[in-house]
Amino acid sequence: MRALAYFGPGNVRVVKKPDPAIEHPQDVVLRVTRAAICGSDLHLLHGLVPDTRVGCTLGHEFTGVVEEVGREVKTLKRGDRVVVPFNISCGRCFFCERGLFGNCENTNPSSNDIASGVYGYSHSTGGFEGGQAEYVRVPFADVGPTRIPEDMEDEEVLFLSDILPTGYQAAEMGEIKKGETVIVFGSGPVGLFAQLSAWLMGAGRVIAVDRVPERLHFARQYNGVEILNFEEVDDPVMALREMTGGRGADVCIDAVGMEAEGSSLERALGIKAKLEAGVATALTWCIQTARKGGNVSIVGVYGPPWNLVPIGTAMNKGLTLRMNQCNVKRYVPHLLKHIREKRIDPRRIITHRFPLARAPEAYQLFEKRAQGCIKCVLLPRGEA
Amino acid sequence: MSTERPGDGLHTHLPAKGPGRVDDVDLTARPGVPMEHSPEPFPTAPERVVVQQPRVEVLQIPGRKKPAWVVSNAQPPRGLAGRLRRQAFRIPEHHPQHWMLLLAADRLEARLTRARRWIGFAAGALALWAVLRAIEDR
Repeated sequence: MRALAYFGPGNVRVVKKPDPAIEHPQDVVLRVTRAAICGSDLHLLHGLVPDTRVGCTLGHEFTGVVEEVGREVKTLKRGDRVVVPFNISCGRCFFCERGLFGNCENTNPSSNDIASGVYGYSHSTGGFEGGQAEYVRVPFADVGPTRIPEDMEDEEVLFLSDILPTGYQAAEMGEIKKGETVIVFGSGPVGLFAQLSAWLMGAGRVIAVDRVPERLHFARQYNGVEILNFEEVDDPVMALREMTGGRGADVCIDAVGMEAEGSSLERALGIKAKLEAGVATALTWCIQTARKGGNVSIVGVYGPPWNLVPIGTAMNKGLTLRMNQCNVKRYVPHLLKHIREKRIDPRRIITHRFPLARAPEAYQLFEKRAQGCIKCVLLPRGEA
Repeated sequence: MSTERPGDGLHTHLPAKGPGRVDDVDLTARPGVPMEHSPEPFPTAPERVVVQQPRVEVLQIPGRKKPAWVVSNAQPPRGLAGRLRRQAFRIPEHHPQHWMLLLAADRLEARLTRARRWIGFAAGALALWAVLRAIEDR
């Protein structure tokens, strides 16, 4: 089969690999029908995630058709169309039983502190091969995948694999109450879905912060939010305080993570010198722009071992910080209903489609946010 | 300051008012609340625990009490980078040295792969040159 593989920072190529096989009786093998490139894939591309091995297949957002079924799989059969959460979860460990599917303890031998197993996201999350390929192995097939309703298309539900539930969980962790003001840092796909979810949860104002004019324009069109381009103001924190009556926002959401712009000092320390795990500027701004007693919700990805974060400010302001990898499986039925009832139209954020053979080009485009790129989708067997 | 408020004529898929915008206002009705619920097995979770036996070397973090139920057999540790990775996995992950060694292994592996590729190209070019010389000499 063909797959998009990692060969070092800035270097991904489409290569031939052996087809995946059933390796555990509760596995299925999927023929991938759609795979998306996630903002967090760029952290891998930039060599910021430790133990990203040469030759690994990337991709943790995908849909597919069941091709092979392990002998103990009960809920899926050959030919079923499914969407697969990015987290690999056993469904019966201490954490899965409590709904913390993103923290499953039986799928990642390489770390206790990071996450469950994740498709195509380095050996720090188990080294499982990803879905930017023609085929992919899916462990615990009775737990993760969700059958796609017959009347729905793959692209309608593709983002249930990660970015839509992640954006929703970001807003949910903010514990937004009716009429509250929410600032969302980052207007990429997760940020967009966090903004939208904030409206669904009754926010009174939603402010999107980014530096890419096209993304802010899209956020305004897609979600009807207020926007702030932080590169057009002297001091983004002061500007946001001014926009929120000097008090700050009730809820701030970090949908950026470890490659934030906005502080050349932090980028020098985190990206160039690697003295911290990337850059926590967005999180810092969250803490600085939340009102006293407010909530900060973190879904932006940060790596080990540490980051410079003004934790004293958070303490002194009495902030509540909430964060986690998304427990995707918990959100799928609810968000599927929103999609079906047209409250959420995830397909509208797809700006580019590429055949798998041109995946490196798609990565370049997405990385540079060129041509108004919001979200790239790969078609493993088709033409774009 | 570049700020804009949504005005008339914006096209959004959310209705201006009504249930579409406020469907999930009730905190307790949100699907992930509370984030950690009382323990209950996932309805379709496997009834039987089957621990996958890896076909290759799988590095496991120190202090882990039991093997993972599923593992990946892809890209096992090998070569110089693999030796660094094995070294890293002797150090618990709350020590930064664990991560520094893994990052160093990543860079080393990428550079060696690139070097091998260039050596392959150079060897191929040299062989081609030798063949051409031999033909000319005849």
